[in-house]
Amino acid sequence: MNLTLESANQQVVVDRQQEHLLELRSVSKFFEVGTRPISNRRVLNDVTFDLSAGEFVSIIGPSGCGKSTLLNLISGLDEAFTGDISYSETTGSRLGHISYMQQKDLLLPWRNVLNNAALSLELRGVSRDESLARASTRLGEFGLADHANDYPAQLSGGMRQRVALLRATLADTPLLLLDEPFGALDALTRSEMHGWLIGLLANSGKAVILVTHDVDEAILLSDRVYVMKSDPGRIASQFDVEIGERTDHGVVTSEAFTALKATFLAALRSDDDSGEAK
Amino acid sequence: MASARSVSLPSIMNIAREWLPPLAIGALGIIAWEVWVRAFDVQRWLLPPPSSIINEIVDSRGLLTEHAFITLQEIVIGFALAAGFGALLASAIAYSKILERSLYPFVIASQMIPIITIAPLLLVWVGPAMTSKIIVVGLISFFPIVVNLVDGMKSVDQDMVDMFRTLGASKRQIFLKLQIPTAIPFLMSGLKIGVVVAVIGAVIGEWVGATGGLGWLMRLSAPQFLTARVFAAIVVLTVMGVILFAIVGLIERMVLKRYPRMN
Repeated sequence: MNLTLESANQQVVVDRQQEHLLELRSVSKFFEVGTRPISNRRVLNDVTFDLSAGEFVSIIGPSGCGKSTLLNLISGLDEAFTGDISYSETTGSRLGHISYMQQKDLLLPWRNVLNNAALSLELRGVSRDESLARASTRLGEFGLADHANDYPAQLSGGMRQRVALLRATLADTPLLLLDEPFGALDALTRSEMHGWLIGLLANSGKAVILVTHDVDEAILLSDRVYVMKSDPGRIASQFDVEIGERTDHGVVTSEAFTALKATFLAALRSDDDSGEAK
Repeated sequence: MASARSVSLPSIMNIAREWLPPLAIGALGIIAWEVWVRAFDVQRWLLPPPSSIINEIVDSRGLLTEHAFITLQEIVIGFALAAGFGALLASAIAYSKILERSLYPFVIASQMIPIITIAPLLLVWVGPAMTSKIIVVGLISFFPIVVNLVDGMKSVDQDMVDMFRTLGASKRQIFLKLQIPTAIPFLMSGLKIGVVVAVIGAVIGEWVGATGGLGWLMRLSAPQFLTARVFAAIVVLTVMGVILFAIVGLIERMVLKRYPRMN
């Protein structure tokens, strides 16, 4: 009896060491007409990658290459695909276990900042008072301390995105999906948000998958970048990013940064699947 | 001091700008009516001048108040029932596809039945007391409430629904925390239309057969050539309708304060 328990525990430990937080194996998705997939039109073809806890990964690629589709599959919103997605947190539906922040802030116009942020806790069954109390302790970190009682219509674009990010963060999942979260912001605000996001995530232990058009953004924020191509949507190449101290303002004009940028732009333009193609 | 003036002065101007034109048009119309009746010596039983309508309102204020109160009761109870049942039915329709398919056609079909043909039947079924009038009011005002509420609940943005789902929301949570709040402005529009037709419903019900109420009073006064009394009842009914509409409008404005984007 004791023996079996012990070996079972050991098995768990071994599993944890081997497992990534997220594993995608040959994930493909077909165009659908109604509910019937059309087998010769692929939206995503054979996407395979792993993500470990705490890693920040970016996916860049042209519009229509299936980046958002991929996030919809990972989040659990869309379950119609072939291949395998495994997430170490749960073997069931991933809905509620992965935070997903979209380009649109999707704030509820009838809730003020505090109540919008607390929504994610409320939906997990945390009482309303407790949700509000916990959300309000985090407002300062997100630069929203003075805006707890403001309604979304009164906020700037950058502030709205921060509320949406606070809402996603409060769900307290080990994986955060960001679908062009800063795409609608002006360049200056976006750059401010980058610096702030780096600080926020630094010691959180959260893994992030960021989808973006913006090469600078991808290099600045990520440990690893996947370049996607369209027709069919696939991962064409991947690169590790080593650029040194990210919070340094000079980083975006450093030699390592510009060299990487040139590589990415070339990879995005090239027609063949070069690089470390998967 | 300066700031107080700069706030209050324009607001008085705004109120004046808003209310003066309709008041002026109304006053002009009443004066023209009075002059017309006097100049051409129109028979009082055919068309009484405004002055004798006002006299009638003052003279019969007891009678008018008594019957106005009956009509008001019918409107308020019937409207409240319509709002309650309407909200329940709309929720059921918005919550379940099967319920939508099985119930919605009947909701729409119910509006094709002319209420004027139902009213006498109701009289036979439940008697001439207030109940039949309450039912007519309920039937007539329930439709705009249901249709608006269903539209509102279904107008939810799919991206919002997806956001709720990624946060692990159940269908019930999506309904309570997303669909219902989204539908509130639509509900308010439905209530505004509903309260107006409720007034019409009460008069139709009373006209067909009743033991009291402003509609019954008009029906009784017309054949006796008490035309001034008919007009007096119309004035009281109109004022009552406008006040009810204003109350719903006020509630709407209070509720929609929390919907800055939709205002």
